[in-house]
Amino acid sequence: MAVSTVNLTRVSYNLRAFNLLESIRRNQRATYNMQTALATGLRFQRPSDDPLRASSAITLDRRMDRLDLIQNNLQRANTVLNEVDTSMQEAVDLLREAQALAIQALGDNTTPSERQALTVVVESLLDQLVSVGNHRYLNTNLFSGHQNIVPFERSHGGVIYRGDGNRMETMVDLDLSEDAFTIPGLEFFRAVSAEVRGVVDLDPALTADTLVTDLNGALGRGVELGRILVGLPAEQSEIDLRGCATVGDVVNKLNAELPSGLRARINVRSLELYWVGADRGPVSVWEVGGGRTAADLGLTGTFSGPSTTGQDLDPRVTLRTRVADLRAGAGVNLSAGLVVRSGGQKTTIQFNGVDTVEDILNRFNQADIGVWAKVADDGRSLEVRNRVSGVDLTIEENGGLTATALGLRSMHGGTRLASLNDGKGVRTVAGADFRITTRDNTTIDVDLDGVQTLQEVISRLNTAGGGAIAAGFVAQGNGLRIVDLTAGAGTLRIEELNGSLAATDLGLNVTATGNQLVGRDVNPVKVDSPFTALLELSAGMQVDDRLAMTDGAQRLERVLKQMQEVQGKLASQAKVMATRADHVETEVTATKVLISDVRDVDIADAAVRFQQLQTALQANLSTALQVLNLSLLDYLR
Amino acid sequence: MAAYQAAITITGQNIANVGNPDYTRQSGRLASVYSGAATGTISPGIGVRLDSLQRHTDAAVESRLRLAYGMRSGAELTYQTLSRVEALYNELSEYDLSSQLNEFFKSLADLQTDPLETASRNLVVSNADAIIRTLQRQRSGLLDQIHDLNAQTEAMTRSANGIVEEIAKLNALVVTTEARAQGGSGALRDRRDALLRQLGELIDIQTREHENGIVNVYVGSEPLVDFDRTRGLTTVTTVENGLERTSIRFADNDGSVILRSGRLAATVAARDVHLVGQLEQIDQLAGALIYEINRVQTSGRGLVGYTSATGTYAARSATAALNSTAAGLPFPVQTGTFFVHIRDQSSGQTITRMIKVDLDGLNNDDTTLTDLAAAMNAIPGLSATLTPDNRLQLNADAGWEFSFSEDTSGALAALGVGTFFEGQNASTMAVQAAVRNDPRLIAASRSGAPGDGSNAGRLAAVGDVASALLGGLSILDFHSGLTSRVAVVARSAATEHEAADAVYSSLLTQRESLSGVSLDEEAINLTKYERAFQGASRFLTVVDSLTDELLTLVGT
Repeated sequence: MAVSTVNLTRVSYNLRAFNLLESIRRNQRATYNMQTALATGLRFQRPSDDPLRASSAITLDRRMDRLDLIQNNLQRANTVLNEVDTSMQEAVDLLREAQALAIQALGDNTTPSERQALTVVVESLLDQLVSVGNHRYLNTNLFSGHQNIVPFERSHGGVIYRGDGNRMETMVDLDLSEDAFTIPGLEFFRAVSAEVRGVVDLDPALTADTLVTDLNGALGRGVELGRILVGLPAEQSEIDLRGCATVGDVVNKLNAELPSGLRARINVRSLELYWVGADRGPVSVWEVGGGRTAADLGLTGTFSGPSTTGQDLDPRVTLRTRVADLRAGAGVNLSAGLVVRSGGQKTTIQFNGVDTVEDILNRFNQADIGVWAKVADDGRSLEVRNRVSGVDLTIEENGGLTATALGLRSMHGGTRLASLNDGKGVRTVAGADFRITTRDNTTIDVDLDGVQTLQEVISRLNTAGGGAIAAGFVAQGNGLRIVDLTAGAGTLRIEELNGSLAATDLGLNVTATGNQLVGRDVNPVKVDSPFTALLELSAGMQVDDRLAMTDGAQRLERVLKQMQEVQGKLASQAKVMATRADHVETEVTATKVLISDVRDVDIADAAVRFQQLQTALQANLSTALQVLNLSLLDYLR
Repeated sequence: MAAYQAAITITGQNIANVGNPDYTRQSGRLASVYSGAATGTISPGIGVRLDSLQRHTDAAVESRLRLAYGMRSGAELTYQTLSRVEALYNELSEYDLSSQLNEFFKSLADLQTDPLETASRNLVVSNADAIIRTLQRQRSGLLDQIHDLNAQTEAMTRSANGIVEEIAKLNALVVTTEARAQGGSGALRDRRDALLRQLGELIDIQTREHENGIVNVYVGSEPLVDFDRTRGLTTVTTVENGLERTSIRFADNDGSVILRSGRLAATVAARDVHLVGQLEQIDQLAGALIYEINRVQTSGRGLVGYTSATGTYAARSATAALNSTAAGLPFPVQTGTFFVHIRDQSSGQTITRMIKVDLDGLNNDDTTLTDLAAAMNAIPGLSATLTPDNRLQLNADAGWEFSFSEDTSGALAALGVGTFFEGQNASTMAVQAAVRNDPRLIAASRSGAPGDGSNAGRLAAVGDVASALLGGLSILDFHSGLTSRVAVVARSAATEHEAADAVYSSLLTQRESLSGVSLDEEAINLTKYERAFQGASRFLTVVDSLTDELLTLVGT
């Protein structure tokens, strides 16, 4: 191996030695490197040996680590999903068994005592179903959502669900995307009721502390902060609102940078631009650079006059929303409190001292009455759900209008007739449905054809009464109330006509108390779950109540179908996970091949190179000895 | 005969020094002696004499060789330094920082899948510890190398001083010797050339040789050796940002020495460019990891809350806006909000309060540490005070605990309250004592629900998310870039070393070709001069015989 390419005029002894030494050194180094490559099987030992390949190797190692993680996650997710599927199948099998029992119980050949005996079996099935609902896999309660708690318990007069509606998620792809691998009991067992939720929009006022992220915005798509341009005939300002966290920050920023004399402030639900001093002409607000900030803030356009108010920014109700800011700042009168009935238990909830929405919700959730209160997902109202299967929940007024104002009364004007009586609705007929006879013997026939809501029933009653009666809701509790405004010796009464059961279904088929017919609450909130079904079956069998048993059997059939649908969805989800796992497996193999291509030495090539280098070194050593030994001095005598 | 005897002596000197790499081949120049006297009509001269002693050297080659020697030595040092850095980083092994970062983020992803698992939480802490140990080992390794290079700078400066002093002495000796005997200073010049090469290895020098044999030495335009005087070199050690740096100065006036190439220049560059650069990047990486993880940590909630917490970062001024230089917080804070959750440990009831951080610079109401403490102190069940050194201290009332979420301001991370890491750089980085003692404080949840691992998912993604502290790069990309850069620079240093080596070899070959001793040539010369001596002796014998003949004729 040549050391130098310089043209030489003469070769000194030192030069010869230097040249040989250098070439031996280089050959030995190359041989050593090749030997190391062969010994380790790696193309390079340190990144600097081959920076480009090393960089690729580091990237591929990272990818491999991520794939390894994803593989583990998918494996765990699949295992949990399989466990969930097994549990679901167990639940479905138990309910099929219950269905068979229901059919047996409803059969004409079954005696009351036999039905009573079947109660034990149904109770056992119920216990088993609770146990299935409490299945765990390692640390995970399969059906508790995000709560670390045994989700189902026979308590509060039924079966209470203490979990929530969330799913556990895990990273399932290289792009860090996530997917759920559990299913909450709320979804499969339908373990909480539909929400008690009024038609009330709590409509919080805009405040300086309102977070920009809590605004629905003028166009209902949130607010994306960017730059806006505010222009006057002779002046304009570009204002960058990025970085503002609250509405107060936005107002401060506007006031700091608006053209002089023009100011901004909060006006209940909107932002308002106004002049301090002389009006200097129409104000135009434009977007900058294709943004949408002005539109989201409801300020786009050209305004004239001393002030102009933008569009409603529609803030959402949050836990931090102050009660005083609800209803556009008018607040909600909570002084009367409300009554919650769960099963036979009546609990009066008072709201003295509450400041925020969170405080209101805490009063419900801390009362241990089997209810779950939260802000509705759309951020407009509150909602309360029944957590206890087999138990009716009602939320009533406590002599005031608190429940109504909060939109939490379980029976209210907006309640649809179709949802009454556990979804059975109100059975009306063509023509008059019932007749009210007042104390002066005035008869009032009421026809409910075309009526959809309780408020419409009340209107229909009042219209039909022509001033003889006043219909409305009871002030204490729930239910309709008809007040006889006439005077006479007769008795106020109500009777159904033409075979209609509307009065019964409206809870009005009651005996008058003085001049009032005080109806029953016919809209208790039930949990439409298999637990409710089994409890109904059990209760029906115990007292030989065929109607209750039929209700239970029908509910069972309905919820079983829904549970099987969820099971089917879960199977699809498991399949997607399995497909992901296959895909990742393929990626792992491909990545391993890539890593091998980048890092591993080509043994055949390396062996040949090693042989060549060895030969070169051998030749080097041999020539070194011969060359250094040759000298004219040897021939001197 | 005397001339050939001298020529043979020169040949002998050459042969004697055949193995001496610093030796410059010499040869005698023979010239016939003209007498002026004529023998008949012809005047052939009266013999031969050794006219001069010639050193076969090329000043240009020597100068380039010195430069190449210095460059080769410098490149070698740079390569060795970077190789040590590479060995310190130990990338491509199973125990490198890349693997540990991956393991850390992987354990956070595991925590997302299983937020209730205590082992997952312990693993997160343990993996964080491994990263800290590695970062600190790397940092301390870099500091050791910097220390080594400082020591080398001092040693090389001492060595350079010794060399220049000897050169100065040799200058004087060369002048004296040349005055006594022309060409008699060959050995001294050889020694001086060797010393100049040694000095050239250390510093990029220029030389100017005068007719009287003096060689003056310059560094840049500054003289270092002037005849028999030397200005001398010294070192000064300064401390900057906690780092000791040794630099070279002229001893006589403390003037700075401009180093362009050579081993000393490479030492300073390896220290200031490569090692300090790496140190800064390691600290930058650690700082970003601390801050980004802490930001996500303070935006989520653990399985339990804190009953007390003291910020780990002190503000220089409690009354200055949090984002101001006067406040001096180590990490950025911006306008935003965070939530404080106060939970009754017995009932589980939680109260949430929003804390605003206003740093828009408007209305003279920007949030200070004092404002923040006051706002937090107003939350029922929580007391917030400042320590004497301006750190935020929070205490929950008995039976209550507190936690945080959704910090969009970065204030909690910048104050070190409720964070995962503490410290600001690789040397001070540590897992917060509270988290180490109770890993349930790791904020895996965003909602506060124990089975919610969504914040752990965000923590696991921190490595891939762009960080403003890293110029928009993610932590993993920054680290990949850091290791790749070391690899590329080390490779380029190796290539530079090979190139410098090739240039050096080439120049050495040129020098040897001119100045090196060839035994074969010397053998031929030896034979030639021997024969010439023999011829001269024979001539004398003939002349002597002729003289005898003449004397015989006279005597008879």
